[in-house]
Amino acid sequence: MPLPESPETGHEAGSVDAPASLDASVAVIAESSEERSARFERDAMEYIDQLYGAALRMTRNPADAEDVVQETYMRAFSAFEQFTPGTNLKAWLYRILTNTYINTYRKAQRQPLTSGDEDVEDWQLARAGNHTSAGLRSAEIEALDRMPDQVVVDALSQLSPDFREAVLLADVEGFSYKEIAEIMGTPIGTVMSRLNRGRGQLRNLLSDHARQYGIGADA
Amino acid sequence: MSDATHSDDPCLKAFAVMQAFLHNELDEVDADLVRAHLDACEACLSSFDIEGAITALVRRCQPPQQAPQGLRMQIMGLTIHKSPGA
Repeated sequence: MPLPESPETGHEAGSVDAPASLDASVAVIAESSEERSARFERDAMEYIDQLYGAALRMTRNPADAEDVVQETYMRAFSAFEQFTPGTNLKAWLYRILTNTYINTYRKAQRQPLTSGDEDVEDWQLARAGNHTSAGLRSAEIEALDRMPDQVVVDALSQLSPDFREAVLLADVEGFSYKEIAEIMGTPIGTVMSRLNRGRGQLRNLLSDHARQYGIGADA
Repeated sequence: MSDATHSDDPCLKAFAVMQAFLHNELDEVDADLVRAHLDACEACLSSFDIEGAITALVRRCQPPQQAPQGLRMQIMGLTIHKSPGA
């Protein structure tokens, strides 16, 4: 499903939290463009490190990450008038970042939006996953703990893009399912499905690696 | 869509909501049902522990980043030189 352009949906993406107070809305109507610029700088620049980190995880390339973040801030700045103060600015910026990345990079990569296992029912994956996990012993948790970062990074990069994005937004950025739904422009049910599938894929990749290199054995 | 949450298999039911449980997205009633099952089922408890360990791994290998100073300056330049609607 194609995602809408972020500036037009900016207001919607900004409505993640409680509505802005009446005072704040009145103040915004009265503000000059200079005041709005100052407010943007004060409020939005706070998230630049996190947005850069997210862009780096998406593009896996510092130069591309910088381009995505710069484009994100340009779009956010020109749509900032539509953002409702007091609502979730971080989620709003992440939504623009995600759309910017999808529109400029993922399109160019010609990657499928989802993996080919879309027709496999969730419960079948759950069953397969449950068997895998039930077969793992506590010693394997220790093996996971000692797994080199690069193995985990490589495993994450093998996930289908939408699944990986959902996993990173939930587990690294700490967004709620509702926020992830706003950021990815999907229903919450889709977020849950992407998380289940993404984490299922990740678990299988890491289990395979743990088995391959010997459980509990020193590297 | 077939739904594991409607299954009769208690392990499958717990597994279907495992991510939501670990992300604190279940309401208290459903979360208590999961906790009760984990108290009774060693295999599922182990499964949930492994998922928790994987979450910790994912976080560990994605440390916080700092945006390059040049990027920060470029973006600050945007807001100074180009007012919206101007």
